[in-house]
Amino acid sequence: MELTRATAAGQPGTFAAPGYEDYFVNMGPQHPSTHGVLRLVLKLAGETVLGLTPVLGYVHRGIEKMGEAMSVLQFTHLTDRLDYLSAHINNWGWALAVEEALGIEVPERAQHIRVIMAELTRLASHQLWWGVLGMDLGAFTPFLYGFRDRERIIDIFEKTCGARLTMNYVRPGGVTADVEEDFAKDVGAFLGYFAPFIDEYERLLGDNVIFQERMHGVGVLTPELARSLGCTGPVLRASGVDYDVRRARPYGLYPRLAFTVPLASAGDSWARYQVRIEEMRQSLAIIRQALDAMPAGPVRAKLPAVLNVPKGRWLSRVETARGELAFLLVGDGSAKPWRVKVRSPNFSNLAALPEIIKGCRVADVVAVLSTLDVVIPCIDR
Amino acid sequence: MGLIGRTATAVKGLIGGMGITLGHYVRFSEVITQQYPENRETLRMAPRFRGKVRLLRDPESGAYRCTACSLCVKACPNNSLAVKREKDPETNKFKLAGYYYHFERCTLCGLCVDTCKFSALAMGNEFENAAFERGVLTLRLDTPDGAPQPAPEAP
Amino acid sequence: MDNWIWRTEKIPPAVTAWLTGLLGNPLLVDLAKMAVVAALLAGFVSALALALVWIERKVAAHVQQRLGPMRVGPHGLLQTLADGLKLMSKENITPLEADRFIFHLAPLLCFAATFVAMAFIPFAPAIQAVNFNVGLVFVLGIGSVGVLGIFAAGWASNNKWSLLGAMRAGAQIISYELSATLALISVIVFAGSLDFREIVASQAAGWWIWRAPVVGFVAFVIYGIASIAECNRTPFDLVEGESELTAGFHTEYASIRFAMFFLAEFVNIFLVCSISATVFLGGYMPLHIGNLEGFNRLADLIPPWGWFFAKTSALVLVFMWVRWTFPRLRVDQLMNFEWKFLLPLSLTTLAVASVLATAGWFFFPG
Repeated sequence: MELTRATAAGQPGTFAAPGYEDYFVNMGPQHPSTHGVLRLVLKLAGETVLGLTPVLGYVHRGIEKMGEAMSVLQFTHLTDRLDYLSAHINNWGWALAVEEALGIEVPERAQHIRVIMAELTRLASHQLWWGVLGMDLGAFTPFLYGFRDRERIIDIFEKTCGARLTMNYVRPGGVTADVEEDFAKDVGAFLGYFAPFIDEYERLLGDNVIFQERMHGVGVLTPELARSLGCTGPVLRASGVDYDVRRARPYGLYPRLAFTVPLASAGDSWARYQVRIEEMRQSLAIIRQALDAMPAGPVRAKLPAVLNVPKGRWLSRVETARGELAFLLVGDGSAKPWRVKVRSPNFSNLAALPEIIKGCRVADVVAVLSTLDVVIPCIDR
Repeated sequence: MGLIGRTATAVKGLIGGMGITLGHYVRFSEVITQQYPENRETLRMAPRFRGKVRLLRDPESGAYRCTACSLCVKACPNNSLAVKREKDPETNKFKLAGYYYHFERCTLCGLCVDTCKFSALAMGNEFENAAFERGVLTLRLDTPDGAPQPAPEAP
Repeated sequence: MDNWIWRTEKIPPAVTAWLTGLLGNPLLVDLAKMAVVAALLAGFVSALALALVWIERKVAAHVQQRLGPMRVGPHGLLQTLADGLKLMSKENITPLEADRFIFHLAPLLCFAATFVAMAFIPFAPAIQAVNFNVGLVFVLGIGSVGVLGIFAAGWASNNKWSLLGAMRAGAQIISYELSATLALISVIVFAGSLDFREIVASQAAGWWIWRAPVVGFVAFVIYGIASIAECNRTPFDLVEGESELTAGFHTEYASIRFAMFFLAEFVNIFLVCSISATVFLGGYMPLHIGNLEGFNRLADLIPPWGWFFAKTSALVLVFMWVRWTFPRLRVDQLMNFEWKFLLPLSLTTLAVASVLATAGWFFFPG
């Protein structure tokens, strides 16, 4: 869409009065519902959206460039700050790249802990997504309920990892420290506590006719478009494409775990909502399996003092709560990488927004953006 | 389903949702928020919580364990630590002459604590770290009484 | 229970007598009465707005499992006062290209409309600031002046988002007024008068919500939904859709002007709830059950204005309960709901009510 003034005459569903000009509105960087610092320039005809242009870069911190200035171990704490709601999974992706490059083998116990932390992170992210979805649609209460349940997971993180949001816990070689004694008890208690709450979430929002009307048929993403834009994660799976990195290119403990990957075919907001709710249930099952089978043993491989990245390129891919996150590590033999490239799932997901929002209303922009579940710092890095 | 059927399902869903909120409303005292700062007395962070970095002393000798090896300085991703050392004329070994902590840069990642071979560092438990001036965030940690002091002379 | 607390109809003659003794001239006495009533009403409405804001915050908090304001005054009772003082001390910003006269007029329109409409509500026998024989229609009409205020605010702000909000408001409020009015008229055909006093008096044998079979309840629900839309509250609050338009038509208003919009909204809630209570729930009539003398005596222990406030407060609480549960409708869904569902329903209700009323097929006719 070009940001030029052009008449909308002739476009379906709009007026063609003489002197008619398109109406540009700025859903500015400061907005209650743009999920971060995102600027959307909307081209409107009354309430109908004719086009949309996202303007990015407000949260750019130069993370990829910083990766060239620090060692691979030091870079881990920056990966937390990409998509901060999938911090553990980001750490894991980076750890996979480094372990592949340096040929490090991760002990079994650490693999179990990594999976449990990753799935807890996925749950926490989806809880926040659900709460924020309600809030963006005008129901402010789900926000508090989502956070109430998310708090339990964050408390588990705080006890074991030492931080609530930027954990820096999964590092190349394993995890930083063994889980503390109450871990199994806390996680087991959480699993029992949260399972009925997913049903409550469905009753509060999913059964609500207003919510259903806002979600059905809104922002339909065809599988062809999703594929061509590189959308991944629940956004892709809601359009019917069965691609989950945990199944397509398994890593860690996932080959040995039994879980289903939720799929939907409609591709609208309702499908994306359903997929994420089901993913929450599947995460509970995965955590239960990994927790029950956790062996004793060390949690960190012995690493040399200086980790020199050999010459070459290594790519690792993980499934964050939002899609496929990939790290490209290019080494040149020294301790500092030559290049670190992060493939952000949110960038590709957001790329779908201008296409799928055409013809929808202004209110739908917020709803669709919420179901696409983008986190801007991941896009801007 | 006809109009009546759809209306009935819709109304049932709406009433169900209202039931959930009513259930929480009538349980007045069930709050999920902590009443800070009134609960400061009983507020405890988890033992592993990563607050400000602290320099540890040896419990027997009372001296700081830090040997000024500067491994933590190299481990820190963004130069938040600085170590000044001087040669002790008697033993001819290096000893600590100033341990400086740029808290305004620290990301609380904990790499320094992991790297230290002498167990001289630990992450503290404070989270109330806001200050009104930037200057007070640059600290010297190896003070006689153990409390960090603002150190504008930090390298 | 013969004193002025229960027998509030004794108050106006007593006040008139006192003022006549003080002033003598009947014209002066009338003017003085008007001044007293206006002052009392102003004070009451202001206090009401403050109290309602506090109640809203507490209800929201407890639905969300938190405590709400607790620090300013015991359990945050003085919070609204503090907020009011804060708002008054802020700078009164007018945007650069705003239409100054309309910009300054808009909050006054909203506030005045609601304030004047409150003058017609019967709080207790003879406690009613103004009594018209077409009181109901007048109140509905005055309430509509509020739309002008919203529209003026959105237009004069010179802000595209505000304009969007104002446009939505115009469409929404005008549409939902139809259903609201039809629902009320469905009961008026039973009561036989548009005068508030007579509407309440006609419910001596029973409240219209159950006395008019089925149509009473259906009209009550329709009026409830339509009045939530009139008040721009969730699920119909896309006018000021916080998540989309930040604050809709009153984005550009700061300080006391914003306070006026804000308070007008809350008094409006009380207004529609009190109309609903008066027309459907018997106003200040106590709940009497047939022949249960003991129960009726107990019910009479509560003074009439106590009943009025209890009924209105219950409805206000339901409004707040609905607000904190539901997401909001999109504008086209909102219009669809009104024109394709609610309006046909209210027309049908009116038709059935007319038949029932004319034929006398309701409980305790005559």
